[in-house]
Amino acid sequence: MVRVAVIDYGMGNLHSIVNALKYIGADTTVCTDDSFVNYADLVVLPGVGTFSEGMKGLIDRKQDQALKNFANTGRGILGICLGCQLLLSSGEEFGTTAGLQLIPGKVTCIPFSGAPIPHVGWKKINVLDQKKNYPITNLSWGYFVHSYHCEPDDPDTIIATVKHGSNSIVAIIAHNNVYGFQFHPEKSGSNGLSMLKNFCSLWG
Amino acid sequence: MTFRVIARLDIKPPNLVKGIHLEGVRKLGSPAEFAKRYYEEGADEIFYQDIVASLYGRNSIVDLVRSAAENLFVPLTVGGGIRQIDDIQTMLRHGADKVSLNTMAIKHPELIKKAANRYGSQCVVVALEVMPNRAGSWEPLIESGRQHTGLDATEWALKAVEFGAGELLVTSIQNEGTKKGFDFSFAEQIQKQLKVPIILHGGAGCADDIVEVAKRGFAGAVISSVLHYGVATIEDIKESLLKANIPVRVD
Repeated sequence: MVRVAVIDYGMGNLHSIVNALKYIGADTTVCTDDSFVNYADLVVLPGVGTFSEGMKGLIDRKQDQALKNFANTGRGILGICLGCQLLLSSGEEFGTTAGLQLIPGKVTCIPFSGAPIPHVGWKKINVLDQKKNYPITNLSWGYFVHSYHCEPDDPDTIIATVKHGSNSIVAIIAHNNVYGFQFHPEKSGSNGLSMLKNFCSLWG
Repeated sequence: MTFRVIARLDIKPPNLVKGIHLEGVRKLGSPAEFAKRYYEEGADEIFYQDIVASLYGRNSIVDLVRSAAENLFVPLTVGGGIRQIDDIQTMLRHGADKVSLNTMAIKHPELIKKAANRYGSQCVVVALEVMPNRAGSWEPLIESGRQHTGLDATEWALKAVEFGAGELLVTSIQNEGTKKGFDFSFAEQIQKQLKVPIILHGGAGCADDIVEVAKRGFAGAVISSVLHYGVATIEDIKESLLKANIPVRVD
């Protein structure tokens, strides 16, 4: 059974992701400090909030450095929504803030192209053709709720996208053992739970 | 955008209740049971509204939110009696994804800004419960439809978004609970002027009423009587939407 540590950095909806992980059978602990490096196979960085508040929360708890150390051990990191965005180099919500710098790129405001902003609702996730070997259920519905999006430096880190207005925005991003889901798998119904289960099974 | 069918549960803790025009209350049963059923039937989101918090100063919905989040793996929005930032924090930590603000947003609009800055706009829904006023336009009411504000609803809607509301929930009080269909006159006015998603509540009597909301370009419909009284199921509603070529989530 995979041992998952869910990072508590003072914000966000922990309850839902913890419930979802327990539901799919992961051995789940909430970690309020940097001790997850000692026991986790996979770390989940959840997220509801703003980039700068998120980074402040991680830094105050020394979890930022711990996450970077953890990434170097080759074990898995999954960022969800704000958690996905924090993995990047920097964010531009209320001024520029440095991120965890685990995936090169920046987080910027979703440009307006006809569809409402914030981007709220259900979309079918399109795994890119060249990434079809990634073990993530194709064409599943994901629930998105965000105003900012990931713009990675290397397009090869983009695993899946969704359409928004006339644009495509990042749905799944990955660099080595570090992954990000812009949508909330724990809020994407039974499809979301199976995506989460498939993903967790890679790590333990 | 995929259209959202959102099941709304009005709650007088610990019961699910239903009223008409936001008053007159009938107990229907356990919110958790109804919410679970709607989730399994394909509801895109669940909305819990605590209808007594604003009146009696209680905030007892937290336990219900926590237990809902244990079984519901779709987004949960919670409204009713949220008075300050700490209340929002409490709701989010117990399983809510979004909070809906009305009375407190009108009395202290800076709370919207504070919440949006800390949690992000996408987490902050501002609910407008509107009635026509004598000036030929619309007025937002507060305290579960019991108190007039004297404000202009269009101006308020624009202000709320400027302060950081990420979504607007519009209820036409006159239509609410009647199953006579939605009123679009106010909602269409603000739709022209705003980029945020707008979801409508109040009056759904059949699947076609909800199709009409989608055809007019709104992001979603928030429905209660039509579901609680078994007039239509979520499956019926989504089938009708698909027939009308409206994109919806189906498993």
